[in-house]
Amino acid sequence: MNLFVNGCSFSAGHGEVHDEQGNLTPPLDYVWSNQIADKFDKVTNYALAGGSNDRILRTTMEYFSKGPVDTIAIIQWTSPIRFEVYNELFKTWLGICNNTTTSIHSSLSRGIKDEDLTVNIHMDDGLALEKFRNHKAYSKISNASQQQLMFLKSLNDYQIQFYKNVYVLEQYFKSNNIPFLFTSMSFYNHIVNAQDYMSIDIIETPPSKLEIDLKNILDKSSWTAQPFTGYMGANYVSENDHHPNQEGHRLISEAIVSELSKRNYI
Amino acid sequence: MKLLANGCSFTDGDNTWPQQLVENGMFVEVHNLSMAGGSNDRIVRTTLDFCSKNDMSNYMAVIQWTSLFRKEYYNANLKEWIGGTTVLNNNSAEDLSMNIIVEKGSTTRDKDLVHISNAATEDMMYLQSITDYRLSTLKNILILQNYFEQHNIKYLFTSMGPDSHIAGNMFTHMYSPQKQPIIHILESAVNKNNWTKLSIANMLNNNLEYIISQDDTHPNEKGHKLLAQSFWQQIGKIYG
Repeated sequence: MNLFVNGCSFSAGHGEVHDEQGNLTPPLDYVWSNQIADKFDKVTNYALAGGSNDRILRTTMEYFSKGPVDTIAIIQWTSPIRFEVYNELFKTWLGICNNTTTSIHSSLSRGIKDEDLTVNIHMDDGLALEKFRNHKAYSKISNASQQQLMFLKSLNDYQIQFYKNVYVLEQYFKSNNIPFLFTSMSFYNHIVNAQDYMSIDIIETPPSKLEIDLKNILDKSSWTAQPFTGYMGANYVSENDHHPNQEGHRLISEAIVSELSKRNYI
Repeated sequence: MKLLANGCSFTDGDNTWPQQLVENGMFVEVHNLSMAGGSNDRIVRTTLDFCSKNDMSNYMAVIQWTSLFRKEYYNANLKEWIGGTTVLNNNSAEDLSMNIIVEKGSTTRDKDLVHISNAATEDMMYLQSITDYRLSTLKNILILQNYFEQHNIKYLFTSMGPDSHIAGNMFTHMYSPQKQPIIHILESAVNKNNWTKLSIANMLNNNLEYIISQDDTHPNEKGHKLLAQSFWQQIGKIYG
C-alpha cells in the first residue's frame, strides 16, 4: 500500500517553502508522514506550508487522475480563508494566504487596520515569484486579495467554499474507489466533534443555512476523531509558532496510525 | 410528479418553461426558485435549502445553470445574500464592473454596497481568471449532481448558453485559454447523460420566432413552449 498526503504546513513542516534554487523543499524528516513511512511501500507528500484547500483539492485530483494503484489518501484540510487563483498572465497558480488570524475572531477584528490585512502570495516556482513581486500586476493582485478579505467575502463565504471542496473531493474518491481519510489543521475547520481548543479556533459568526446544509451532506465517518491541534496538544514549536514540534508530529503520526488501523487500511 | 426548477432570467417568471410543463400536464405542480441575474452559487444554495425542507421522493429537479461570472456573497451582519453579476459598461471589454443584486427586502446600506461592488470588480479584474470561474462552476455542478444522485432525486441539467454547457463543447463560445488539468478532471466527473443536448441559447438559435428581440435574446412565450417540449423529451429519454 502506498500513502499520498496533502495539506498545509502541519503536514509539510514549518521550514522554508523554497530552497535557494527556487524549488519546493520536501517535507523534513520530523514530519508525521515520514514518521509512519515504514508502514507503506511509498509515501508521496504534496503538502505545502501556507497552501489552501483549493490547492489541496486541485493537486490531489491531478495526482489521482494519473491512476496510481493501491494508494490511500490522507488529506489534512487547512484554513478556509486561504485560496488559490490561476493567473493567465503568468500561466501559474497563485496561492493567497492572509497574514492575519484575528479576522477569525470578530471581537478582535474591530481593532484591525487595513494594513493588518496583508496577504502572502505563493508560486511553486520560487525564482518566478521573486520576479513577480517586482511586476506591476503584483500590487493589483495583492490589493484585490485584501479587498476581498475586507469587503467582499465573509467568514461564512470562505467556510462555504471549504465545505464545497470537501464534498467534491469526497465524492471523487468514492466514485473512483480510492480509500481516503480526512483530517484538518485545527478545530476551526474540523467537521466532527467541533469544539473550542484555542481562542483562535472560536468562530463567532453563526453559520448560514447553506453551511448547515453542506455540512450535513458530508460523510463524517471519513474524518479523524480530532484535528491535528487536538492530537499534538501543547507540543508546538514556540509561543509564537504553534506548528507541531517533533513530539507534536510524533503524536499526530500515532493518531493517524490508530485511525488507519480502525478502518483496516493498515 | 412535482417539478423543482431553478435558474436565472431564462427560467424566472410566471409563464416560463416550468409553468408550461405544468400546464401541459407533465407535472402536477412547480416550485420555481429562479431569480433573474442569479448566480450558480445561488442556484446551489436555494436548491439545497429546498431539498432539505421537503420530501423530494415525488420531485424532479430541472436546473438551468447560468453565467460563470456571477457570484454570491453572504453579509454576516445582516444575514443577507448579495449577488454579483458582470456588467459591460460602454459596450467595452476594457470597462467591466460587477453589479450588485440584492434579494427582495434587503437592508444592506448603499454605502456598503459601493464597497462590495468595488471589491467585487477588483476581484473580477485582477484576481479571478476564466479558469477560476470554470473551476467554481464545475464544483457547483458536481455538488448538485452528487447530491441528487446520493438522494435518488431525478434531475435534468441544462444551461443558459454554451459557455456553461457541460455536455457539448463547454466554454468554447468565448475566449478560451488552454484548459488546466483540473478542469479536464472535473469535466470528466460530470454525468453528461443528465444534461440536455444543447444549451437554451442553442435551442433558441437566435431565431426571432422564439426570442424577445435581436437585442433581448431571452425566450418569448413560443420559445418557452419550445423549451418545455424539448426538456420533456430529454426527461423521457433519461427516465422513460
